[in-house]
Order: sequence, then C-alpha cells, then structure tokens
Amino acid sequence: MRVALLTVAAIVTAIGLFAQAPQEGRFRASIDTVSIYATVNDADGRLVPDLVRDDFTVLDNGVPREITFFSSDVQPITVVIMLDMSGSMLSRFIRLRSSTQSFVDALLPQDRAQIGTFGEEIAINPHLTNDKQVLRRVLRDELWPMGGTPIWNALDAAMTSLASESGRRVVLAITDGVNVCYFRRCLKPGDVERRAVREGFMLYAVGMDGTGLDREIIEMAADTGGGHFELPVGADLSATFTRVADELRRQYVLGFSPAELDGKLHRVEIRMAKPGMKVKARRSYLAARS
Amino acid sequence: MTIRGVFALCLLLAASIPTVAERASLEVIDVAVEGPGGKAVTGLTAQDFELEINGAPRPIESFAAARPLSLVLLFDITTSMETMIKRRAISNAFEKFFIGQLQPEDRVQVGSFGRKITIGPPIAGNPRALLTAVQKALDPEDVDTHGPSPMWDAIDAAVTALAPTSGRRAVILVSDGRATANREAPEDVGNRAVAAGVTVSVVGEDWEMTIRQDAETGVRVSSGAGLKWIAATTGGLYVPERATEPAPGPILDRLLAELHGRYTLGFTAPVRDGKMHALGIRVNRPGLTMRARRTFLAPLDSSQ
Repeated sequence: MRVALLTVAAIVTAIGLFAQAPQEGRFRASIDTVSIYATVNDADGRLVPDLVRDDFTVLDNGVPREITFFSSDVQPITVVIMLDMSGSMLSRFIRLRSSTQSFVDALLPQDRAQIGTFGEEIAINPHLTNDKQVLRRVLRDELWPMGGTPIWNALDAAMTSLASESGRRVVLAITDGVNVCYFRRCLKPGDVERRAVREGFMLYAVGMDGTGLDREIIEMAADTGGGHFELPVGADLSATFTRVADELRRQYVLGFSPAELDGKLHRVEIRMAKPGMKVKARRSYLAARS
Repeated sequence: MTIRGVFALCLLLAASIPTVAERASLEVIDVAVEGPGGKAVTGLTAQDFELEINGAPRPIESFAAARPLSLVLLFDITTSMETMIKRRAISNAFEKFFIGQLQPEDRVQVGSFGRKITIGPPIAGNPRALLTAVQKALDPEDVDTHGPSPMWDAIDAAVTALAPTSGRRAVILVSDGRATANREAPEDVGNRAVAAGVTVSVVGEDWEMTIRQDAETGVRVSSGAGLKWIAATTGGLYVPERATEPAPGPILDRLLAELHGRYTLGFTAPVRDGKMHALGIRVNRPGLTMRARRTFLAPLDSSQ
C-alpha cells in the first residue's frame, strides 16, 4: 500500500468539544479533539439520515475511542470550487458555467463558496462568500478558457486560500482530465495529498465526460473523506453538484480525544453498527502536539 | 470681421473664462479632440465646445488646453501576456517613444499586477529613474506569474493613487483583459474612476473566440470587451494590440500625445445630490471627433 494511503486524512483541529462528557451539537475551542466528518450511504448509494451516536464506532490506530461529540445537524458548506479552464474543456464551457451557477443559486444562507479557475493561469477570487451576486459576477467575468490542466498546483492554491478557515474545508474540483502543467514550478501529487491530509482538507473531484480522473486524485478524495464522480458524456453536471451539496450538508460530525498527542499520523476508521451501511470519512489524522 | 478682429475677440473671450486652476471648486472634464487620421487637434478654445448635463445646456466656466499629467502606467505581468506584447519590446518602446515626450511637470507612477498589485512612487523630471521603474515592473522578481490577473483591482488601486494628485489624471493600462480574482466589480471600479475624474486608456489585446458547445449553440468570449468598456466609460483611448505591430512605440507616442493634447472644461454641477449624471459634450467644428466620459458624479451637499 502506498504511503499516501497510510497517511490518510484527519487532523487535530481547533474546533472541539464543549466538555469531556458526551454532548450533542455544541462546539468550542479545544486542541485535543479530533473531528471527523462522515458520509453514510445505504447499499443502494442513498444518503442515510437520522443515525445516532451509537450507530458509529471510531477506531484510533485500531483502538476504539469514545465519541465525545456527535452531530447530525445540517452542516454549512465552506467550499472552493476549482473549474478546469483548459483547452480541452472548451466544448463544456457553457455547461460548466451554468451548472456552477445552479450550485451557487442553491447555496443556503450559512454556506460560503469561493470560485477559482485553472488553465493558462490559476486564479481564485478572494471572495469566500454567501453573496450570490458576487459569485455570479465571478462566473460572468472571470472564466477564461485555454491553457493546460495544472490540477495539483490548483488544488494546492485552493487549500492555501482556505488555510485560515476553521472547521470543515472543502475543495471541489471539476476537470476533464489528467494533470498537464506548463508552469515553471509544477507540484507533485504526493506533496499536495500530504498537505491535504495533514491540514485536514476534504477533496471532491468531478471528472467530466468520461475521460477519467487521475488515479492520484481519486485516492486523494478518498483519503480526505471526500469523494469523486465520473460523469459520462453529456451527463447532468448540475445533478452532481446537487449530490455533492447533499453529501456535505448531511455529513455526521464525530469528535473524539486522541489517545496520544505524539505528533504522528494516526489511522482512523469508522465502523457502522447497522449492516449494509457504507461510510466515507478521512482515514488518518495528525495527532499534533499541543 | 477681419482676421485681426477675430483674433481680438478670441482673446477677449478667452480672458473672460478662467483657467481650471483659478476655479478649483468647479467640476472638470478632459476632452480629446481628433481630426482625420486620429491626429490630436490643438488650438481650440472654449467657444468650440458645447456642454450638456442630463440633456440641458450648461455654461463652460473654465477652460485649459494644457495641464500637467498625473499618470499611472499599469502593466499586466501575468503569463497570458507573454503572447501579446513582448516585455523587451515594450520596454524599448517606452524608452524611445514615451519617456522623452513627457513634460517636465508630468508625474508618472509605474504599477503592475499579477500575484500582487504594486503602484510605485511618483517620478517627475527623471527619465532614467522612470525607465528603470518601467523595466523593473516588466521584469518582476516573483517569477511565478501564472496568475491571477486582478486587473479591476489594479485599476482601482491606480485610481486611488491618483485621487490626491492635481493635473490631468490618467491611467495607461497594458493588458490582455483576461481579468481574474478581483475583489472589486468592474462597474464599481468604473464609477470610482469617473468620480475621481481619472481617464483610463488601454493598450489591449483584441482577443475573441466563439466556443462551439454543440451543433446549435456557441458562446463568444472576448477579452477586449472589458477593456473597451473601461476606456469608453472614463473617456480614455482604447488601442487594440493588433495596431501595435510591429512595435508598440507609435501607439505609446499616440497615447501620450492624446493625453497632452486634451482640453479641460470646467462647469458647475446643476445639482449637488451625490449621484451620477449624463454628460454630453460636442465640438462645434466639422470633421472633428471627440472623446470624453459620458457621466460625472455630482458633489453631495450635506445640507440638502
């Protein structure tokens, strides 16, 4: 197994539990609580709502840990949407823009989004906002097709733009292909994935029109607790955006205290009590010394 | 009337209209007048112009044919520019066609934008320092120029830098127009430039493509549209990149001559409501064309 797979997501975050005793739905600052965002699907791939704390078991390096925080509330979305503007995306330009527009229009009041592009250049608009007028303006004025597909540089830039945010930080990339970087400095997949894992970012990737996502992108999405979607030619991108938004809103939040803050990456595993349930969550966390 | 009589009348009329400097409280607008072939027309007087606000005539209360320039040279230094204007060529053009044409009282700030926006300090009467600033702007230390291109934010920064300056305020922008990652909306930037009386002239790429989506639909993408819009909104001159071939020197020469050759008209705002109003200016000589902004921001009288 690749090292990158062993170092899968999760980090000791700055958000934590209200107290050591199990509680529902209240956060306050703590440096010794690990938060895990988990998506649960049934055997048919449908999202499963209404689960309770006892439906989950958290294993830290294989050892069960008490879930000291649990929330099944609708989670606000904080996302950077990275749109592939490379030359091969030309024929999908309108579909990409209009689908992203639909996603923006469907944002809830507490959601925030930021829009970036990658192609000849990488550009992320500075507004991380719920202001739909601003986001529409970005989609209207700031999409310039042409260039390569510097996806690893783009993902890294997206993480940098979210670096000062707390809580769940999501990067959603829509692309049609593999990395093609003409920059003076091109980042490597392993470096970007390590950063995502250590700093606790979550990646969703959408591959358009069946050209196939990079294997490394698929692995990074899985490792960080996100997901990936491969769309066949002509498939409805708006529906995929809706699916991603639903997943993000319906994720469960599980908090636990690490057995040891040893500065190392810990494997973390979520097990479901009910049969037939499939859970997606980050697969590791950094037990940073306080 | 004899020629001497016309000359005397012109002098009399000219004497009755103060210069801009004498009436600092007036609203002012810069007007470019060109004859056939785009050549700047000099020697006009206030009587050659008519001014309207919201369609109603307003008297021209001050007039100036020559004012020092307060100018920001603003360069887009991102990767996408490399196919447009070669940096060495434009640097050479500035040396040969631009810097030597500046007037002693002109003050120039050199700015650039890419990963960051930089507006340098004013330089006046020091051609060597100005050339060095241009060369430095075109050859940034930060080699990672693969975006973004916050063109609107950079124009806004240039307008802000010019706000406290006197004289004829202008920006010369060199960009391909593919603006990204802007905090400011184009409309807001244009309004602020108009309110500050800053003209934005552009050497820009006239890039346009139609992207076919399927058998029936396509989308047209034009990087020149925003550049043309900001020039028209602020009364500036837009020069497409194609016209710069084989070298941008003559274009820079023309841009500077156009700015130096402008006339400044002063008028009193009919209302002081803090709002934008339509501005119409005509030059009443045949065969001439003029360029000026089409709106102005009325001052706000706090007592109203």
